Amino acid sequence: MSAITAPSLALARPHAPLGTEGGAPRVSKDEAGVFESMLGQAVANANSQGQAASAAGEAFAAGSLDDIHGTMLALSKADIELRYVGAVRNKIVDAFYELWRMQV
Amino acid sequence: MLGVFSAMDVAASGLSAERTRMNTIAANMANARTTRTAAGGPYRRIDPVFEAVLLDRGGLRGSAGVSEVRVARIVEDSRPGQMVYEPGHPDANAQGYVEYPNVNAVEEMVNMITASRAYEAGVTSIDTIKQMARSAIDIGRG
Amino acid sequence: MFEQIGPLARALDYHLERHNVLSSNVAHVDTPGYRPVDLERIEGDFGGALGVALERTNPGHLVGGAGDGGPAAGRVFRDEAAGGGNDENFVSLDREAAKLAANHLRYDVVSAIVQAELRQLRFAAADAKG
Repeated sequence: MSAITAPSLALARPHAPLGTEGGAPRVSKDEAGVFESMLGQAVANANSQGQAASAAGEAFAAGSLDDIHGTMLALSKADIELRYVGAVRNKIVDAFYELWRMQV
Repeated sequence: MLGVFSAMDVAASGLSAERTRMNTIAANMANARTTRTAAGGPYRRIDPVFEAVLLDRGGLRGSAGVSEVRVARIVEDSRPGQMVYEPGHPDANAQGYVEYPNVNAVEEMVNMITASRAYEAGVTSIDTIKQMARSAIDIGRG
Repeated sequence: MFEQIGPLARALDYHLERHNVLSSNVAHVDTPGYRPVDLERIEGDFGGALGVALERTNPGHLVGGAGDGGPAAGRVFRDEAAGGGNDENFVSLDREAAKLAANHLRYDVVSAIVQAELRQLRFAAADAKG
């Protein structure tokens, strides 16, 4: 799913809340790094699954693949992985903000 | 893996074959009393001969023993027709007998019912295949 | 972002045109001397993208491409595998019906694929929420 690369990587980076630019970061660099690498890995997995599913879909459309349920399963799996990654990212962002607020 | 589309081809070949059989039956019934043909002699009933052709789909030659039906040829039934004593008939022979075609109406009716049932079974098979495919499509929806 | 959709949309065009071609075969089931035709895909982007009008070198040849001069979704060809009948009509209803059913099925599958792709894009555009 090459189309999904740009938006999904944008999902991967939790946005810093307003008002903290230029100030000292309240969360240590290590903790932010762990979050980002975890999510980056999940996004990479979802991306490769999505690309394989898209390739299967295109192969069917071109007539070179006759496998209906295989293609549909691949597309569904890629869809679920993307939603999973999205849900995990949302949870991580929420947790990040909680930590941020706690330090105040 | 043989999939949905090869199954449809196989079932469709069955439909074509049974349709050919129906055509031969119709020809037999229509010519049941034909005592004169271009080749001389009375009409001889015809039968299709079916043969199994192993399915050849790309790299899956003869896969899993699945084969299509094909009509190899149409053969004439060589059984003699019935001789009826009709001296006044224009096609009567020297002894006054007319040779009528070897068509038996009951036999043709039985064949017709069999062909019709086989055709219906083929149609049911194709319908089932289509339903299965649509269920597979629903996997990807929602 | 939508580069996946192009080939899928072209496949939908192809299947729709093929349906028309096969339907015309069915309409000609009783026409003496009629040979059924079919539509084959044009390989690669080069075939359909230029929209060049095909030249008829023989009046007996069929005209290719859409009537409005747009790029053709497929290439028309004579179906050589169709058997013959007594009246020199080569159309078998069973064969054409099976082709129509298979073509319809493929159209539905490609349509479901397009829906799945757009759903993913929509999900990402909604910032991964619902």
